[in-house]
Amino acid sequence: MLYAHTRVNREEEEYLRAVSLISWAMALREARAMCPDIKSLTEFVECCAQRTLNMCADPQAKTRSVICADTFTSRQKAVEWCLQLEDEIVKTYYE
Amino acid sequence: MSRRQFLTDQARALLIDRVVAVYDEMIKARDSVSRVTAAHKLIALAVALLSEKEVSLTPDLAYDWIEVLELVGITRDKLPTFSSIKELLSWRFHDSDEVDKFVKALYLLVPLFREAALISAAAASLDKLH
Repeated sequence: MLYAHTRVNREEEEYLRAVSLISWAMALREARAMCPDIKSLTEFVECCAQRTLNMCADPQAKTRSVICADTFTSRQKAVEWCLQLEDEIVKTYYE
Repeated sequence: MSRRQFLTDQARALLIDRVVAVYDEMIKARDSVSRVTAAHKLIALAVALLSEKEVSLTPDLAYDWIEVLELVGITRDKLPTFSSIKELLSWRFHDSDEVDKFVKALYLLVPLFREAALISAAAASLDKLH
C-alpha cells in the first residue's frame, strides 16, 4: 500500500482521484463523518487532531483518554491516532 | 435447486442474482478500470433484463449515493427521470467514464432490485406455506 502511514498530501490526493473518482469520493465522505467541513483528504489529519484535542477539554475525557492524559504528548498522540485513522480510511477504498 | 427458482423464469432469476453480484463488484472496486468493467457488465445485464419492459428510470437508488455523487459534482437536479433505457444510455452525467457508468448502473438497479425484492418476498411466502 503506497500510502500506508503517510499523511495524504496534495499530489497523493490527485493520484487517488485519478485512480478512482468514486473511491476518492467515498473516502472523503467517510472522513467527513468526523470532519464535515473538510474539502479534501489533505485537511483530514489536522482537523481530526484538533477535534480530538478539543475533546480533552471535557474533564471526563481527560481521565479516560490516553491521548488527553499527558498534555506534553497529547498533540503528538492525537496526530498519530488521526494518521492511523486516515490510513484505514484510504486503505478501505484503495489497495 | 432452491425453491425460489420455481417462482419465476429460472434464467431471469439467475441473471438478477448476477446483477446483485456485479453491483457488489462495482462498489467495492478500487480503481476506475475495475469499476467501469463491472458497470459495463451490470448495464449489459440490465439491458437484457429490462428490454422487454416499459420502464420509468428514476434516480431513487442514486439518492442513496447522493453524498458521493455530490462530491464528484452531480447534484440532485442533475438526476432526471428517463422513460427508456435508450434515453438513459444516451445521457452524459459526467466527463469521467467511471462516474458516468456508475450513475447509469445505479439507475438500472432500481427496477431490478425491486424485482429481486419481489422474488425474495415470494420465496419467503412460499417458505411460510411449507
